[in-house]
Amino acid sequence: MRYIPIMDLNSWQSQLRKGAAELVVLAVLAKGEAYGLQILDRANQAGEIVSDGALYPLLTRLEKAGKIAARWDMVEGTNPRKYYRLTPEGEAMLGEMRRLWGGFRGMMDALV
Amino acid sequence: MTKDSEQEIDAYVRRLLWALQTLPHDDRLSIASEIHSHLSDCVTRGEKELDRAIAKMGPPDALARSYVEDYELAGAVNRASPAPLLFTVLNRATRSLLAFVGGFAALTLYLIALGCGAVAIGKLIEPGHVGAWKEGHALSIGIASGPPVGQEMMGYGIVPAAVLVGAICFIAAHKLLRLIGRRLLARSRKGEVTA
Repeated sequence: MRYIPIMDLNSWQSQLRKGAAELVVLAVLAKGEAYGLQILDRANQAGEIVSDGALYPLLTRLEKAGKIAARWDMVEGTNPRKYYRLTPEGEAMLGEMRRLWGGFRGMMDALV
Repeated sequence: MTKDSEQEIDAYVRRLLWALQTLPHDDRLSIASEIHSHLSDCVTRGEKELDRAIAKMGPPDALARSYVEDYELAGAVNRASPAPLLFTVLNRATRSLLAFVGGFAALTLYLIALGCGAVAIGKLIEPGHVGAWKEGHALSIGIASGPPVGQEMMGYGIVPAAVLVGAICFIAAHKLLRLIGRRLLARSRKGEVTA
């Protein structure tokens, strides 16, 4: 049995997750407005796709790119939370990413 | 939330705020508030959840770097002046082959443009020492410290030629830098750090 260095597999897996993170976050927000920890819980339901450290810079980038919009919910006595939702531009991008993902998954299934 | 958890969260966010110094004030506060909110939510699920979240966040300076690099690159790409963008691209040269090759190519083009500018201005100030000379099969172009050897080829025609070549090099360098900047920005958004 050939030994595959764990570092090589971990690095490859990390790159796979990074590629999928944006699609996963947009898909989670397509189901409704959510704050950071909610997005993390829903995105990682089936396994860790996005880490806490990767999520927030990603959310900031998506917000600055106009794909998502945010609002702060400040209720006295509770933890202030920043809620995110998809913009029309984000919805369009998600639709396109889903289409491309379907094609990519088909190709990989045929090859692997 | 226990006092220890609160102090741990505050200490993390304080270090994060310090590492975000180069960002605009409002952006720094928004990022720090959001991270504070996230860690506060985590601690309601137990101390172990807070420990997990802080481990997954990574060191505050590393987390801050993700924000700062995006901000610096996006800002430099959108600014009219090429100097901040050149500096930002060259700063990434040790981590990105694209930044290394492209950054030094752009720098070379800027230096050629600068040289052409020096030739154009020099010709007007010291026409006898600036020009293009041919002696035998050898061609030399530039600024001569001593009496030039060979026959001058272009005379004052070198001025518009140098201005034209310099302008082309400057514009090419500018466009190359913006292309590299946008490419690096797109890569950083996908989480890639090397070419």
